[in-house]
Amino acid sequence: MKKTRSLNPTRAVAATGALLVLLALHACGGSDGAVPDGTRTTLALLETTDLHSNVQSYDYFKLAEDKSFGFERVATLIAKARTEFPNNLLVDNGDTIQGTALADYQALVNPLACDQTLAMYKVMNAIGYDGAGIGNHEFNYGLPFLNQVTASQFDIAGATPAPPCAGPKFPQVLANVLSLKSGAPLFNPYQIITKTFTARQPDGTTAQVPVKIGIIGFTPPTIMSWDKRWLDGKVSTQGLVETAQRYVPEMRAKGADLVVAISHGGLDNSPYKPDMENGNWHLATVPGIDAMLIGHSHQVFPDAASTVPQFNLPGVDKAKGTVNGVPTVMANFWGKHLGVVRLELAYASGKWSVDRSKTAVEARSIQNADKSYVEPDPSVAATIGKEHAATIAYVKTPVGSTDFRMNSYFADVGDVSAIQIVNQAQVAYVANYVAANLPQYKGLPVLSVSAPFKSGFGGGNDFTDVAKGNVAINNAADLYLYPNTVYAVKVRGSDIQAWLETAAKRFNQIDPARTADQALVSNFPGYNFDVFTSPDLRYEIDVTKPVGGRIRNLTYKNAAIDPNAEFIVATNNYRASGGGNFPGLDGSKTIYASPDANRDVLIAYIKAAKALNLTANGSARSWRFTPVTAAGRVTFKSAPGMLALAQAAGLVNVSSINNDDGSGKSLADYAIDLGK
Amino acid sequence: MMRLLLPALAVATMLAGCGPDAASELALGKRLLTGGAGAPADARAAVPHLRHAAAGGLPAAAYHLGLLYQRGAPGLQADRAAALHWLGAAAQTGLPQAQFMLGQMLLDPLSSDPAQARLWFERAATQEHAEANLELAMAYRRGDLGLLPDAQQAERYLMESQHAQKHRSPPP
Repeated sequence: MKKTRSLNPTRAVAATGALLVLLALHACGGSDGAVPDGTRTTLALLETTDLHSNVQSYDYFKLAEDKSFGFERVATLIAKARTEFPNNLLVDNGDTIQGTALADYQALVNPLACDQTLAMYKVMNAIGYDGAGIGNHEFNYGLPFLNQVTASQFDIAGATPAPPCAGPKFPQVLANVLSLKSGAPLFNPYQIITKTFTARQPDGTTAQVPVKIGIIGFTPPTIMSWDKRWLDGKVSTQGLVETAQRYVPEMRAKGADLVVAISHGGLDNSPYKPDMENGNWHLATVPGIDAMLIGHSHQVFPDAASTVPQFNLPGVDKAKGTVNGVPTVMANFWGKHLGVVRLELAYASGKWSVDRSKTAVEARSIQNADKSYVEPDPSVAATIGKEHAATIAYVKTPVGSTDFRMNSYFADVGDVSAIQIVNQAQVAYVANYVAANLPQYKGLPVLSVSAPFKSGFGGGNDFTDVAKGNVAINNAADLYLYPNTVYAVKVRGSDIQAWLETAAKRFNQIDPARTADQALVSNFPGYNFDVFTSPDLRYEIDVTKPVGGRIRNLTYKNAAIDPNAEFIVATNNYRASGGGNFPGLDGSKTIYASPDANRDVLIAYIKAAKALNLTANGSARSWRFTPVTAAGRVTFKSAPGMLALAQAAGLVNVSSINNDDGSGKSLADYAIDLGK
Repeated sequence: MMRLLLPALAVATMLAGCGPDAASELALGKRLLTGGAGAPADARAAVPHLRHAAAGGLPAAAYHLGLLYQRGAPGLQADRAAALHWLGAAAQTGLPQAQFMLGQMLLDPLSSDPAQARLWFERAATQEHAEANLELAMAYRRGDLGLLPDAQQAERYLMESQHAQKHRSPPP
């Protein structure tokens, strides 16, 4: 047998393999860890924060586009930044899944199935996030929901082990919330992500190099009180500083070249406490953190012109974007801004380090210099078309019906067709709560006030006007303009008198002897014109008297009100906390600060009542003007052509003067005969 | 045991210089303000305790003094100057509730200083004070507080107000 020189097959395979490896290494510049000293790479950390489920630039209550926010627009900035910085890491800071009707729809109205991904996470998956933190609002819908939509497997009391549901395709990190059951963090406290970046070698060539970026997440420890009902007995929180002191060295030991803190919170330099809400000024002092991506406060940082107190603290450079020397960015909220932290890394002695002289931090706005907004990324809306349409259908869903037109065109002169329903809802809600939870106040009468929030200040279209027929969820925003929550205060009869005296500032003092026209309504805002609509409470407003002496014949159950008698009055957080400077209402009289929005309480009431009618829900006037015969006309403004509505409300003393007051605001003049 | 005791003792000694004393004075003052458990409210008796707590550096005490002098109480005359003084002191330290109430007082015809009021509302608003955010929303809507009407700003502050209510700070 002739001996030939041939390659042994095993050797041949090995040689080919080695060759392939060599070729591959050559192609990618040799990234097997043999990075030459002096290699440099530039990367950008990209941050979104406080998106609050604003996937599209859309206001679900107005059912209209609003270009000033929306993930679909910040997505355009992300694409641009990725072109500019091919080496990048895109991270979200949290407060991601709550805050719009879309979020409520998917969490509460038509809860998401396990095999479905939340709309917000769907678009984030499509854009391709590298990681995310967890904000306080992630806990708003409770732990089972959070467990489901984040594809987690929380090991907490009461949870049944189950396979993870669909969710984000990027790691979510949170180091300072622990399961009480297991003692371990609820989420992965940190994740080390290996990115392959293009780098410049000392010989001028480029190479692909691995960079290990460790992300660690924090949320405000104060979630324990904000979402107590969900979290009590299930989880605990730890302070930012001690949590970071534990994990940052561990991340370094595991090979993290960079450590980036994704911390949902702002800055506060008051002495450190583990339960402080905004602990990042202190977090920055923990050694080993290369950058902080922060949020929660809905502000822009850096911003050289910022007057926000938290960015004007010692150690905070609001122009450069550093906090105690650590590059830091806060990208506003709702996708209005993109945070960009440009870092240059230099390789020496086997490790990467940040060349701080090359760091640049900025928050980029979706608003252009000419005040226009960047175009949306069309792929975002396309991804959630179904969810968006379902949410719109939900806010248009009838929750009840009304046999009268609920409007505020004549609220200043006594019509309560848009006010009584709010008061009824508030009374029912507070009375239920008191009966169930505040036995010490059992037996106190529960009354309610509300105001005509839309009373023509902005012109003829600035009135509440809900047509006869079906009432839908979006109508609730018309009936209750402001995003207040229901509060209850305990007051005395004398306080009610003083309360009404303040509300009566709505009117100018009328001189009955004057023959010229006198305007009835003053500049005092309509939202402070609080009105009772209880058959038990009656009062007159005497507009001929000066402010402070106008409320007459205030009676409760047909007898003069006892100045010392106690009452509970349902109102809102603004009034109960001192808004409008009503005497004695300064927060000290609040007996219940509910978490529920007046608007939601109203929707629930209409749902239960189903069919509203004028007699029961729109005509209980508690007040009237003290009759007086004026020599001249007493006038006020409302939308033109509405006299029939005044008459329907029984206001027979109202007459029309013209159909256009000449203001150009679609308003007309009306007169009221105070003698009738 | 000693190892555990000594640091605990050290901390306790350090705190004794300021914290617990002022804190217990504040707690006592607040208890007297509200009454309860069979004891009627006694605002007059609360004042020295609140003053002591305020002198001990607790803005909440100054805030409560401010409110008390603003509204008055049985046996205690309302005193506008004192109310402005104490609310001002609490507001300066950054207490958003005090900043909001001071702003409200400055809108009163007796002060009528909407520009200054707005500054306090803005400071409270940046600290996520729901009502200050609402105040600014309404001001931007109407063009009050020396502002020009701006629907977009109004909307922004409305949303901030809504957002802030999901995580309000406990009353001082």
